Amino acid sequence: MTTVESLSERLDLLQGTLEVLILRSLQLGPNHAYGIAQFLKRQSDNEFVVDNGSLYPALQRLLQRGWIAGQWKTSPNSRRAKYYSLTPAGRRRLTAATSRWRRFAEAMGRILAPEG
Amino acid sequence: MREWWSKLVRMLGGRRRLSEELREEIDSHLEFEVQERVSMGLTPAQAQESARRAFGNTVSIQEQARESWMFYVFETVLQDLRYGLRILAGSPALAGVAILSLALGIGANTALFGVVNSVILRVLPVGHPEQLMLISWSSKAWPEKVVEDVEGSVDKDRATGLMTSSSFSRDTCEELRRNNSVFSAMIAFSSNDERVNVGLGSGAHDAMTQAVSGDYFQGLGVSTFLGRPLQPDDDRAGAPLAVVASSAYWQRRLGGDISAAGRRIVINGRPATIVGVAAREFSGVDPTRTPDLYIPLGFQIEQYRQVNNHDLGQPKVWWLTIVGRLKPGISEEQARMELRVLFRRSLRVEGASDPLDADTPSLEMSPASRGLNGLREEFSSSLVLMMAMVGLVLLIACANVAGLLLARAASRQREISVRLSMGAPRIRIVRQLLTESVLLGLLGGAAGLLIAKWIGSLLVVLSSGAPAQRAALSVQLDGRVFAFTAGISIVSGILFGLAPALRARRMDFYSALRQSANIPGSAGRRFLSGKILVGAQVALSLLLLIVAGLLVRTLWQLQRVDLGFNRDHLLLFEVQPGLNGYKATRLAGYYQELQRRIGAIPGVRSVGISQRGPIGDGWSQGRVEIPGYTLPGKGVPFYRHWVSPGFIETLEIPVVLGRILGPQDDSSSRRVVVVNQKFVREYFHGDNPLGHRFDAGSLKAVIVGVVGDAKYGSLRNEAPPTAYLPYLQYSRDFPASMTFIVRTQDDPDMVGSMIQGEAAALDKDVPLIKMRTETEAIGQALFLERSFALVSGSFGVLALLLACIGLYGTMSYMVSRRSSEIGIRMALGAPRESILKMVLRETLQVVGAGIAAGIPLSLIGTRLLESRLFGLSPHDPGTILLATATILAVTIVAGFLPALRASRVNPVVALRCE
Repeated sequence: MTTVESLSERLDLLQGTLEVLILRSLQLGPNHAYGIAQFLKRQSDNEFVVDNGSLYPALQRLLQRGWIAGQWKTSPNSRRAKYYSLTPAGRRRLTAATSRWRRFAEAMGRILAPEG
Repeated sequence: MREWWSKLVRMLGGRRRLSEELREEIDSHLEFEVQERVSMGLTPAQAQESARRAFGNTVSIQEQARESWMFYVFETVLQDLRYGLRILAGSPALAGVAILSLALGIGANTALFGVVNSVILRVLPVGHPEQLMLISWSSKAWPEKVVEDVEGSVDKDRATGLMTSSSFSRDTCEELRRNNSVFSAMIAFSSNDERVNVGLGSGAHDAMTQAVSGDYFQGLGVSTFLGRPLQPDDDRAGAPLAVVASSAYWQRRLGGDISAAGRRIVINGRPATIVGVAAREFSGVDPTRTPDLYIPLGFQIEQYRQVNNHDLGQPKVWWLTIVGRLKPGISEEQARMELRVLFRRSLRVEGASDPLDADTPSLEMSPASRGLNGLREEFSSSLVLMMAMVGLVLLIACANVAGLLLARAASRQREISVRLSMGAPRIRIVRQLLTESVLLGLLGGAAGLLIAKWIGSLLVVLSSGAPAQRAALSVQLDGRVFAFTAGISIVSGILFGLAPALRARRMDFYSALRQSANIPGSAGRRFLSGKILVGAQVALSLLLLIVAGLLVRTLWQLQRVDLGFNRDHLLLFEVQPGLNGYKATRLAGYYQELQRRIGAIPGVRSVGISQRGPIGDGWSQGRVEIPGYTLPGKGVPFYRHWVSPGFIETLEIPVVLGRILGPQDDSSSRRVVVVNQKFVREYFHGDNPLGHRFDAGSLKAVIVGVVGDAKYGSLRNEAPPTAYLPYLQYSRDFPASMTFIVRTQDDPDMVGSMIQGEAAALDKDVPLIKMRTETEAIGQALFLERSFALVSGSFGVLALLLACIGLYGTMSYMVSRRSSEIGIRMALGAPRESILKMVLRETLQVVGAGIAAGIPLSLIGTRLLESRLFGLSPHDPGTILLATATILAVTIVAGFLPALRASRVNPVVALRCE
């Protein structure tokens, strides 16, 4: 799914995971597709470089499920772009997913941690 | 709210808007990428290229986005359906009851719609039916000067007294056909079907024929699938007799033989040829008549002259129905105006009067595409009434299911809350619940189709009505009926699903997650909406029960009405020796001999003959002048019965004055007549009528006796002024067919076979037709009333059953929800009886409210029934009381069980299960 040329066996992201990441990126405020991709790239220290062929379908799915809403606005440098924002349902979804991921990551960490 | 709306709009906007937006979005995204590279130092051209490359294939990206959108819609609908099915399977009792209620409600509606479909909505299977116009005439008073005899029905509007009919004379027909410029074709056919004796070589049977003009088939655009249709040449004088068979007759009597065209048969002794078989879906223009054979008009006229001694060619005999096909470009109004002029001219030709006379008929024209009046008029208002009743039953069923779903919705709160907290948008939940209920509706509808088919067959079995009535009742499940069923299933599903779905939308899921449902005092414990639903069901059931009660009692009254004669052990049948060539004295001789032979059978008390049976055989009217009591030239109407000696005694009509007809009244003695009391009251104002002259045109007689009033033709109307005339005194006009009335000692059926034997011995080629007991004849005459009583009775019971189920379910649910409250009460010392009483009181409140709402509703609703009732007013207190008492009794029983369960609650268990 990602087109990261670097070794990314551990980063086989599932579809749903991308959606959670998008939701998270919108938690801080509305953003457009480009902005979301940039955010993910920066925050993950270039680990997650999202392929547009995955991003746009994911955005559609999120729209359909009602977790995000889209609105055309003029950006700060007077460019028209479609801004996405979290809906209340989306917020709830994010909370639930975040807690699940945390537990998952902790459990993984405990198992993978060296003994002692 | 706005996001919800914009989402809806986007969903509806569809793919095109999505594509446009995507393209725009991708363009703006690219802009950003370009900008970034420019700010990193690339030239615009390099930036463009690099950005495009990094972005990826825009076309395939758009494709993928679009796909995911469509897939989502599809996927979620599928998900909702699967989920809904799982939920339903999870509570099979609920699903079962719901589907059953819906199946009954929807099935009844579908069955009725099937009948409506075939009677009212069915369009003629002819070419361009919308061009066909039916001609009719109307008149405020009986158009004496131009009409002597009208075949077919004359409808009289109850309110205005206006008479309408669609029968015309041959002359008018010719005049209109020759001189009109508005019709591309004008066809005529007999208004009544005639019975004939048909010889097929293998045996003889009777068949119904319709006489049609030579251009009938061509004008209507109906083809034959075997052989050829009738043509104008077939209607010419001296042409060999050609007939067309209907496909039903072809199946039944000709064995579906594909070489039937050209087959030789014998009709009333005349050799004829079947030249063709009409198209399968065609059964004439009138949906109530299904003729077996189509014969030329000329043959009919000839037969009538021979057999009945009646000239159908006369200008004053109106017996033809006319249908014309409008030329394209001609408007209805144009045609109407021209035809009116032609019609008036034709009347003047017949020696008629000033066109502005009240009793001069005026011409009307209306589209014929639905087929003719007849059954449709008779049935359509009845059908509307029945549809209203069935609609109510469906409403009750929906209320029932809504109540069930609401009760269950509460137990699904947890599930819904969890889904909400996981991020499901409310609209999705609402949509899923609605999908569930529509699914329930469709399942109910599918089961309903089966029930509809079953009801249809039941109706046909139960309707011992005339074949025409039975044909009308056939429930054909065609495309339109399926669409109707699907439609009401979905609408019902949405209707009863709305309440629980909207509930879910407003739900506050935080508190729902904390099982606060059982905290006493929290809203939702009272379950008001459920109670309202039950109350509504009770109200509607009351309405239906009252309607049922009124209709059943009407039937009961009609069945017991005093007929004026003794109806027990009475057997009737018809013979038509005239069709076999019997005439004049030979004909009278046949009747007399048969009467004598039957009278000699042991087990027969007496036998009489009349032209018509007393009830349900139509009537014959005439005008009579009574010198001294009526103005000269102005006759008064009377109903006539051509009878034999023995008729009045056989029926046991009481004699009031003078004597009755006897064997001495034959063609050689003075002409006499016996009248009934109504006749004397109306026209003699109480004076003694004996010895007075009775002058009805060619019929001049002396009144020699007065008998009691006996019903004639109809059960509802009181006996009309009737005159009994001895047929033997009118040797020129012996009727070609007569009805025999036999009073038997014991069971009429046993004697029936002996009568058959005597008739066969007398002349084996004259069949006995329509053998029936008087009770059966009355039953047939009361066909509509019986159907109504049956239908409304079953629906009333059904509605009551549904209401009880609803009540039981609701009260049980409430009791289970309040188990902790009950536990507390009992722990604090309340005796079991008081709990029982408390629950029962609540039940009574709901039922009481329902009845209080139902009674004014019924008072309004039953007004519509007024014209159908007999012997009762629509607000008959006895019926209302009985219905109310029934509902009270049954619902209390239904509510008793949950109350009992409440009083049996173990307080310890109840309080622990918090």
